[in-house]
Amino acid sequence: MIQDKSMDKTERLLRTLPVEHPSEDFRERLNQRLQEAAYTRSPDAILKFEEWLLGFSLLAIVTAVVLFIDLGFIGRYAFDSLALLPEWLIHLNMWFFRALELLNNIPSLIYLTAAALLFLWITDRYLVRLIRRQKAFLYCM
Amino acid sequence: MVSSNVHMSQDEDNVWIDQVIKGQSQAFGRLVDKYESYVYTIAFRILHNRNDAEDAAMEVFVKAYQNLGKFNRRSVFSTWLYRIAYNTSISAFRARSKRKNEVADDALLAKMAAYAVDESGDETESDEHRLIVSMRYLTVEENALLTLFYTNDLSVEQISGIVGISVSNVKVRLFRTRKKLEVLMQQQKNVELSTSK
Repeated sequence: MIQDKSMDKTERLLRTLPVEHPSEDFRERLNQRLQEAAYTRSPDAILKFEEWLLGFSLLAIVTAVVLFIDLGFIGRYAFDSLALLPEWLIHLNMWFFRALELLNNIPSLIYLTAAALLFLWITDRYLVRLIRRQKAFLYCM
Repeated sequence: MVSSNVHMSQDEDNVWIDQVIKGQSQAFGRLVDKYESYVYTIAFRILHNRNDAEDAAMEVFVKAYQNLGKFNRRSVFSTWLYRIAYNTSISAFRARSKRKNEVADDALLAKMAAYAVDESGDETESDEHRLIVSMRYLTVEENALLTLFYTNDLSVEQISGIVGISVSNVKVRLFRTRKKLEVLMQQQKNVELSTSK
């Protein structure tokens, strides 16, 4: 019985222990840490944007390659013979065609793929992080 | 009434969590407002040092912020957050123990010393003092259990989820810890009596 009473007393005392509070500058320091954390965090909104950006980049690369090939062929077989375009544009088209001939082998395709991947990496590495940083600046509590 | 308040609180948390996930980071500030003292208390009772506890509490909120998308809502947010707080504080304690012997917080030591010299204090105050001093002799897990149950007012089921032991084990450990605390307080009382003679 005495044991129970002392137990009650310990419990009572334990219940009086206060909730502790951090120092006043805790919140400010936490905000800084959270801002830093925002660089590495991928909220859904950023993730969606990133996916969109990746898709857009791929589309841009495919379009560029198609245009590159088209301009080369057009320059070689159409405009050059018809001489309907200004000379500088014909020269430009010829350069496209020469470049196309150079690229028309397997090692060149590998280089092109590597360049595309590098472009995507740079986009992800810098552009997306820059956007994240901008979002992090908007973080306020 | 209490149950409806708990549900309201959970709903409120869920709304803020959804907002954070959608990119409205400022909603996380509301979660911090609500839980910072409880998280800090867990860290402080485990680490017994204000600076270390603040660092641990900060770590907890950063982890929560970064992993909020992974929170599956099978448990309530507070349980999930306190589990992070418990694990982070235990890890911080172990890391610190490796580095050096445990350093007691200056403020806490001053508080203890003030109690020790205060001979005019009433019985309740000396009991409180004995409790604070005795808690320093408990293990980190024991301190965490007491804090979660008595200060953060969690159920044994919630504590079981946080600490990763069964409900019956939580009850047994709480009982044993209280008993240990009682013995420690009694020993301290005896020491005080013998030194005052």
